[in-house]
Amino acid sequence: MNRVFRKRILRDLKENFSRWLALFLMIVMGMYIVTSVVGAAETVITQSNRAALKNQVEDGEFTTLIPLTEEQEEILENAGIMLERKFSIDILLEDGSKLRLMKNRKKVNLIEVDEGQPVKETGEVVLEKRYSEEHGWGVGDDIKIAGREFVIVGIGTTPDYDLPVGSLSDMAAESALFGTAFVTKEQYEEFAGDETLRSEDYTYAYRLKEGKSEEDVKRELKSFLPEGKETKMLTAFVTADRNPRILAAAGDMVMNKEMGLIAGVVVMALFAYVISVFVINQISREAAVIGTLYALGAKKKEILAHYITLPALVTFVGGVIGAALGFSGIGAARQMSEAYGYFSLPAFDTVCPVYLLIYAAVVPPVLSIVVNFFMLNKKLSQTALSLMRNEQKASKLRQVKLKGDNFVRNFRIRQTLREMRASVTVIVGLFVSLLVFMLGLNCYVLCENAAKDSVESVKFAYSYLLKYPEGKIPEGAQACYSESLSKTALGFTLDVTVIGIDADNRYFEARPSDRENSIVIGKSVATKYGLTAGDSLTLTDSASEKDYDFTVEGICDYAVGLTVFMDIDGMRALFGRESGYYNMLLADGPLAVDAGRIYALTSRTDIERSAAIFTKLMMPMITMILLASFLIFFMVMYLMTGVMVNRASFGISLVKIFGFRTEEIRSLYLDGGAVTVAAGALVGIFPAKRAIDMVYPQAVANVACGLNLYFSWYYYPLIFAGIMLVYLVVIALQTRKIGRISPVEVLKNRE
Amino acid sequence: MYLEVKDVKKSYGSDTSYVQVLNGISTSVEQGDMCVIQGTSGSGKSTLLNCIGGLETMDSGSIRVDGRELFGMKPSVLSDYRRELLGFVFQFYNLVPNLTVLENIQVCQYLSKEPLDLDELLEIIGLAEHRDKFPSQLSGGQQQRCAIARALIKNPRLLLCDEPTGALDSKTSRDILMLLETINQRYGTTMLIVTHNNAIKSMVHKVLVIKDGMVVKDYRNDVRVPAADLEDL
Repeated sequence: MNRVFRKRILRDLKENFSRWLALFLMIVMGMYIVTSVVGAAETVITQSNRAALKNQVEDGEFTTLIPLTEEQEEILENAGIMLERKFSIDILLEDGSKLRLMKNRKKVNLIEVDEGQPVKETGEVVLEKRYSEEHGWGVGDDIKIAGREFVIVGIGTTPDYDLPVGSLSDMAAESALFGTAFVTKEQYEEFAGDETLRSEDYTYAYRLKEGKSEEDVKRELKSFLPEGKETKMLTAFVTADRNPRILAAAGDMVMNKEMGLIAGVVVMALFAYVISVFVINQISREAAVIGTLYALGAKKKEILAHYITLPALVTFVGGVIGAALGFSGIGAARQMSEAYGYFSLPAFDTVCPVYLLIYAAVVPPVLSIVVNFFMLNKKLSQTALSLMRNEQKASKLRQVKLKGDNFVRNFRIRQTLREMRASVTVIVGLFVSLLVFMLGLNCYVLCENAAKDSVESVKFAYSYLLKYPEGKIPEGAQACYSESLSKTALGFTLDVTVIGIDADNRYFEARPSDRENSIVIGKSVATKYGLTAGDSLTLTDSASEKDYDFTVEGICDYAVGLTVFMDIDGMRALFGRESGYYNMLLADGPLAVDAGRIYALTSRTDIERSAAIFTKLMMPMITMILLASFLIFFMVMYLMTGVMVNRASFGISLVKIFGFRTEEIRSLYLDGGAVTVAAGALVGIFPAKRAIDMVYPQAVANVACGLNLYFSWYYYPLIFAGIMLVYLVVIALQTRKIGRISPVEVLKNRE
Repeated sequence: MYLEVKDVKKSYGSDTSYVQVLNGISTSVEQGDMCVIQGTSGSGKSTLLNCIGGLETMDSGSIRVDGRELFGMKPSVLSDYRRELLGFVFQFYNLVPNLTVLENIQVCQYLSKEPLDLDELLEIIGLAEHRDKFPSQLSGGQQQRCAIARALIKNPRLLLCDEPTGALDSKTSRDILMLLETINQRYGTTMLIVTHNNAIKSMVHKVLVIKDGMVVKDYRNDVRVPAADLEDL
């Protein structure tokens, strides 16, 4: 490019500094959000996988009703299956939280101690990180567990409790209520021998040697754990890829990463288009100069290169600075606090992936160059004379004949038609910001609805999941039969609880018929998998690898986790249980159940507390998304109306000479935009909601909750009012600009 | 002949809007001549200049400049032709507003392999002391000088001027014409000057008067009046 033009680039920048600054800040903001979100996601994904590898994460786990014998364990070891007992006892602490006590690990799922050291002696405990954070415990503190005093010697994490939930079917992790703790082998065995404590869980983690598969593990287990009618010896079998606790944060971040990268391209393309409108406006103003240069022999590609350079530079620098901020302390590290505040993760160093740096440095300028090339090429393809005369190709739309003598109305229509390009940009910007807004709003309503629906649908005060049923149902309790199956959808396997109930069950409104394999599904299952009455649903028992085909006969209001209901007798028959079998007790108050029989105890209070966790957890992300959507619309609206005022400065100056007042001029030149914005909002709000509703299941495919994205009708007029309010603020700012245009302008622009 | 125009025809529009602007124009200009093209508004003088400058294409006929035939030339070749041979000066100066005088001239310096000496040109043009000023800091005459310098820096063989004094007062017009005269003498630049100003015709070597797209007068001045002595500008 002509080196003289290079000098001009800096001067152009200075002359239109506020405009370029606004565009620059938009790019910085956009790329900051993208790189911080994607950088955080990439850090969590990469480092979680590294930590899992380093800490020998399990390939799977299985739970047995009674422990395997040493001989059985040896058979498995000899078959190339490395075993680690991860037996546990759930202990209720005085503050109402549940601590899952386990012994130190040696081979699989090793404990990564962030602070302090591993346990070496009796009386020492290592606490899981999130649980200790929620309770304010640190290394050196004393803690009382089941009446015994312990010193916390370490705070750490294990790769098998990335998502620290008590049960695989839990909707969300609530670390204030649940955590894990590790003691010495001797100490653990002392707890295991205490009959006053809740029963021990016999889960084994395994790692496969080369050439071995989960089929080998199952085959070996089946050889010495035969299926019985009354007892199911192998109660659970979950491979790591289907275990929601393992690499949960990484799984959660995959969608953040993909959506961040796509959103980045969409937003940058929008900004590139906004920039191109500016440059076209500049070219229109300088058409005579360009025409003269053409006449003197300058070529289109030289002029094109000149006009494309500044946008490319601004977007490049904006992208790089946005990325620098994204990887700074206020970027990815802060975004990761969302993951740290929910998942149980070791301390990660921020990963700075090369592709993301290239993305940040390349996508904005390349999009700017491509969009500007196509937009400017046509404009600069005019002949030298045409440019010198600043000829405008009058489109048929602009020459439309308007009926009526209403000058103001007709003027506004003409002005809107004249500024069609800017109007289209405003509508596109509005739609993009609406998409972003709906993403944030859906996130909010999903959390709120999930919490509200869960709490409303729980009628019982206590739910006891039993390992061994009592001979007699305790008085006041309602017996049910629960099985945990799973369903894989959109790449994620989630637990679905099947509950067998009597026709007179007072805690659930579902009334499943006794038809074979007929179920009533909770509304969370219905919305999650898009099911209605008459549909079929296949669930899998991962332990036996058996698929169960069900027919949906109805939908009930129950929304705690993913739950379906079946006639209890039909369910017993289906799963090979004897008549009268149950393993779940529901009651209005605490039951006197032998602690050794209890597998899991859930209270309504637990459900209410964990229901609120989603909103609390997601609020910073929701706030950022909503703020970004506001900024996108505000900036596009402000910049485009600015272009309209600039382009009309000659006319505005002229009508000022005629005696028009600023408010009247605003009415003529800008008020037509109100119709454009209002129409864009009316047309855009519903498709934006629909579009986000369609992609949203992907975003929460790994969360065991319903997809109730409904929000009340009054949200729509509120959104519309919000859009119009932003419009009015922008117009007020532009009216000040109109006020500053001098009538002398018309004399300066004689051409 | 340096420039030969033969039976050039040019029309615009069709049906009811059809206008025959040039209706068989023929003329020639020798190298180093200053030639004025005169005519009333709408006579076709600017269209002829634009056809010679390759800014517009002719419907038929022939224009040869420095041995190059323009008829049928592709736009990209026309662009090269302008780049290599021509300089243009228009009624409105069309300077880049945020470039200084020096930089506005330098914009076109790179278009030529053998540009004129910039400092010398600035001295001749009378803008040496204004070289670092921006167009908004210059008078109309100074801006037009700058536009002329921009056209001349490429060392063009043919300078096409479309109403170069059209926007200037009498004194400034004289200064500009004196400048053109100086340049013609110093560099031997062939010049075609479109003007409706009757007084200019006495300072040039050749006069071409056009009416309704046809040449009505085409003659050489036996005696030329220096620009400094022109009256009624």
